[in-house]
Amino acid sequence: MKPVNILLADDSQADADLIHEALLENRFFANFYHVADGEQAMAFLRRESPYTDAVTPDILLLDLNMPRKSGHEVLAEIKTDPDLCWLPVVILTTSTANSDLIDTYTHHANAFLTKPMDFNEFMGLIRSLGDFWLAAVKLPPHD
Amino acid sequence: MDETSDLGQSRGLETHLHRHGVRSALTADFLHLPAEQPLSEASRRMAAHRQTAAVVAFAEGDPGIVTERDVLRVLAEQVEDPPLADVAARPMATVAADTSLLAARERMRAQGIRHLGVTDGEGGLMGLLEFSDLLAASEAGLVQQLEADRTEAGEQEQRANALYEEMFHRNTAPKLLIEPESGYIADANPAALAFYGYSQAEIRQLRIQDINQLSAADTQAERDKACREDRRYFEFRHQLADGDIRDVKVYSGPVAVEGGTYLHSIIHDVTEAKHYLAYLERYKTIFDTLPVGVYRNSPGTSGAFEEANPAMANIFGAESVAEFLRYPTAALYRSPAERSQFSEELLARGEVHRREVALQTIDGRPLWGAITARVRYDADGAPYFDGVVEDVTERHRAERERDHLIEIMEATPDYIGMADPAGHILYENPALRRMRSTSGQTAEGEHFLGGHPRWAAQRLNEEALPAATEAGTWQGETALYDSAGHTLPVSQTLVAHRDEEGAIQRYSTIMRDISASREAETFRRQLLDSLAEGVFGIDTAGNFTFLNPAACRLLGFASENEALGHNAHALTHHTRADGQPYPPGDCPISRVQASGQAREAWEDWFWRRDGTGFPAEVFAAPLADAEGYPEGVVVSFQDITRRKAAEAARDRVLAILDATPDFVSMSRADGNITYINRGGLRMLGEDPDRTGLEEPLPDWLATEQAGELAHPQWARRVLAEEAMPIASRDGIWQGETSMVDTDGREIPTSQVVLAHHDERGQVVYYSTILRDISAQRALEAELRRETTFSQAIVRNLPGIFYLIDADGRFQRWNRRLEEVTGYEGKDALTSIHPSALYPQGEQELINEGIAQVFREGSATVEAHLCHREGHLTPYYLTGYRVELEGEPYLLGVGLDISDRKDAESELERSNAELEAFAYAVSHDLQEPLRIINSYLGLLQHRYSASLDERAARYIQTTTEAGDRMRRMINDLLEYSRVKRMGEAFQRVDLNRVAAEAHSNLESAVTDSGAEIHVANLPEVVGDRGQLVRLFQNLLSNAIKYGRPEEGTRITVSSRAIGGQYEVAVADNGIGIDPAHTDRIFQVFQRLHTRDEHAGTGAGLALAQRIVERHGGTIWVESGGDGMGSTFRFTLKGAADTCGRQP
Repeated sequence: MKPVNILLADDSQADADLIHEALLENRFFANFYHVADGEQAMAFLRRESPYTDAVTPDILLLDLNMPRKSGHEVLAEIKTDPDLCWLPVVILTTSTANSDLIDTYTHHANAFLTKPMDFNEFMGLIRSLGDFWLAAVKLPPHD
Repeated sequence: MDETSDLGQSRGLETHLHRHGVRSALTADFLHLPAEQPLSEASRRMAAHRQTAAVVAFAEGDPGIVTERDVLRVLAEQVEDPPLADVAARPMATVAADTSLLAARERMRAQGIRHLGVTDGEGGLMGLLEFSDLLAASEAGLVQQLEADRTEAGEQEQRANALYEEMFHRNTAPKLLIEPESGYIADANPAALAFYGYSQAEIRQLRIQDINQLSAADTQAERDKACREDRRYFEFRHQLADGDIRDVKVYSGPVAVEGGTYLHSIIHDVTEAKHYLAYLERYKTIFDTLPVGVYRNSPGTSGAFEEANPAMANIFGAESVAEFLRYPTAALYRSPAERSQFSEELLARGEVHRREVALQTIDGRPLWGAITARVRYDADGAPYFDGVVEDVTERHRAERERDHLIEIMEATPDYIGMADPAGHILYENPALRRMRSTSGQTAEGEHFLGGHPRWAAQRLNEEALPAATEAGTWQGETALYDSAGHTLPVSQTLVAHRDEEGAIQRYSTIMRDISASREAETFRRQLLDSLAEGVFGIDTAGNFTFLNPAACRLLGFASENEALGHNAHALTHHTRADGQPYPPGDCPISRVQASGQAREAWEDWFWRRDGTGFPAEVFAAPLADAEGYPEGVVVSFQDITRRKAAEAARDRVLAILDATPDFVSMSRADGNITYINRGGLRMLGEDPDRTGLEEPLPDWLATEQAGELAHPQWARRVLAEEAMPIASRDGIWQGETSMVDTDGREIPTSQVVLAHHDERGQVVYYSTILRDISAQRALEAELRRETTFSQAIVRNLPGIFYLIDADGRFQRWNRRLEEVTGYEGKDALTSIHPSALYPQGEQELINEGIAQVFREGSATVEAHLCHREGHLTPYYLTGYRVELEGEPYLLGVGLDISDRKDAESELERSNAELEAFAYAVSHDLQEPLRIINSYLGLLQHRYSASLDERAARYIQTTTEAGDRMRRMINDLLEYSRVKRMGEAFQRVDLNRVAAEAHSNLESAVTDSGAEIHVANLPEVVGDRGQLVRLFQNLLSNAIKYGRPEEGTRITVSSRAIGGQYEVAVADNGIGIDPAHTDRIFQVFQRLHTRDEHAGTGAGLALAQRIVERHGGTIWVESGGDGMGSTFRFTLKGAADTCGRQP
């Protein structure tokens, strides 16, 4: 069994660390990669410089509010790119806005999660996320 | 007979006497009367003996003579009855017997006497001679006459035998000699044989009984009769040989002839004499019975009647002829002059024929006699009159009358004519003649039909003549031609006159010119026909005799014939108008009939043929004939339905005049008042019940000039200079004046003056109406004020004002609306629908708002008024339904809320900004807070084993603070979301809201042991989620600040106030100091430390914000510390939706 490659696009390092921590805590068999904005995310996915050696992630955790390129744009780009549209995208954001919710699903986001304020809740969420997406769900193959 | 030749012959006396048939008074049969005998008795005796003279014997001396004439004369002249001695003529005139007749006659004529005594030689009176006898007597001599007479009887027997043969056989008189016993005829002389027609031998075979047709009994009876009558002849009937039966006088006596006794009979065939006698008898009868008087009288003033028949006595009123004869002729003439004139004429002419003379009866009663008389002369040549008198008094009168009639016929203007049976004109009266021909030429002889026009002639011929011929008379209308050829209408009567045998003798006709009466009749007809009044006549029985067309029409008869002959009262007048029966006796018409007095017009009720009735004014006058006998009644009447209606209308008008409070008066042209209504009297301060139209006016009023009637100076001037002249000219003037009432107050009045003119255009009277307009004035002033006021308001309204009718048309608006919409001008807005003033999207809202106003009474709407050119202005519009004159209208006012809207949107914007800010802030704040909390948690999680107590406590405090911050940011976030992220309002059942809030607080309720009672809550309109939050906050507050040791009790209730619901959440908790009740709703305000009561302090602020969003208000009531609190807030009920978007 191969480890799942998780790509997180989030402008908050703190949140990135927290998520990494949570994943490690739950001993998920996964590789964790982090980019800080939307451009980097696209570069990573397209294996463009400086991410020419990047692996192909099995799942993308996408924050919405990112500088340079927002999560919405990334989503849109991915889901309209035939080479990338297969990628499961889970939105992970602080936003509670209805519009974000509707928008992302409309642009074919696979799931929408709001980052809980409570630490415990947060940890529980990541666990659920892992349980579902990494254990239960069959991820599409790719090369 | 020629008297002189008679006298010249000296025939045998006997022959003479025989020839004349006279046995005169020369016998001794004359009367001797004693001288002392009264005249009247003498007269009687003389009359009885039929003597015209008598010898009066005196005791001494020579006798006298008295004639009947003398007696009568004296009796007529004298009252007394003298003795004959006084009257007799003495000495009696005598003459010797041997005097010649001539001499004797001459003597009588010379002496004027009519009787002479004849004496013999010795002076003895032999007899009396009458004058008339002398005329018949011959010259043969008196002596022979006397001798023959005197001796005849004595010598008869002596000479009997001797003369027998001579006498018997030669005698021309038939004689028979009869055997007395057997009756056989012994001998018959040739005369007898000739008479009887037998031969001698034949007759000797017969018996006298055979010849005598009388029976033996009758014969004997005759004999006895003769004996009684002392006559010497018998009247028998002898049959001749040829069978003829003759009446005979048989003088029969015994004779002794040749020794035998025979009956000697001389047969006088008196058949003729009998016939003649009978003839004379008849004539005497006629004479006696003639109604005509027959007489003989002597002429002259002393003329007297010598003969008279009973008729004369009758005519002249005498009881007998004898009485009559006493009167002289003069007595019977009314005028002596006439008598003498008549007498002279008769003498001169010899005869008069039916001379009408004025006579009189012996009593003096006048009569008219028609005398036909002839003069005769006696032997002496003295004239006497024989005559016939007819009492023609009646006939005279009849003739007079007839003459009168003829005068009338001649004088009448009517046309009278006569024609013979064939129709030829016999007579035309002058009128007819004149009419027919101006020249007066007569048409006698022409046929009468020629004078008539053809149609009239035809009528006469075919109808009149037959009718007159059959019935005697005919009457009808025809016509005549006059002299100019014009046709003249006439009423003609035709009479057929018959003679005694019944044959038509003549026709007579009377024609009356009826052209005038025709005209009068036509005129009368036209008059009656043209009258609008009904006129009818009734007879004494009350039946219709005529009706004019108007009467027929008014009474509903198709024609006059329908009514004629029927009883007028029963047909038209039977019942009164109110249904009460109307006995004929009560009817004024019958009273007129009875009294003969005309009746003044009265009102009554007539019934038509068809049963309907009508009021009528009736006048009745009696009709009488020429003598004044009542003939009936003529009634004229008018249907006064209209007049009654007019009277009723007039009465209504008067009632109206008296009912109106206005002053109404009438005055004559000179200004004097004739009428004031009650209202007027009241206005003048007089007792209004005092007068009406017929009652007299109060004194002062009657003398007041209309113009001075309590008007102040200025009003009087207006009336005089303006009102009266204009009214006189145009008929009416209207204007304002005033009156001064009894208190001296001036009352403004609106006055109308009318002038009423007659046919010539002169003003006859004025009438005026005054209305007290003080109240009206006041109203007007107030109205003006109000109008000015409201107009000022409307004009100066800061907003728009308009009035829309139920059809959605603008009726009124103010200037502002025009300005805002750009529809300026009087009619610009009338043609557009209100919704057209708003943008498309808002039109439905506007229409719904208008509908709601009319439906529910009011509505409020916010919309944008469009200007024509396009720009919009937001307005706050309120509409109210008002009723004006029974019609609903929408009264709208609108306020320009641009500023407010700007402010609102500004506010909105700032609120939104604020909210966005708050959101952004709180959202952004959340991020680092999350990291803090997360890493703190991580720290706790990872390194809890490595941390000491203090370090753990530091981390705990920080974590708690972080939590608190999180909650605050949450509340803030929620607070900010109330308006921004609120749901659309819906109907929300508060009971379920409360239940949800309750269940959300389950754990807190359980932990605190609080009791929550929720009453029946209403349905409201709002955001369900927020309302749950609201309830939750309040309940949680009540639990938080409750009193768990006693048991926190919370009640939730509601009540309806105005158009909203007020919900109350009451607790028995710690209460709130009233001084702080305002502060608690501010965000984060806390009245208690964190240690005392948990809570961010934002709950009530949130509650307030939620309530505010729902358009309500929230406040708290509390008695203070420990007294519990009641939070109240208002929400709109479900019925209060206006589609408002907050």
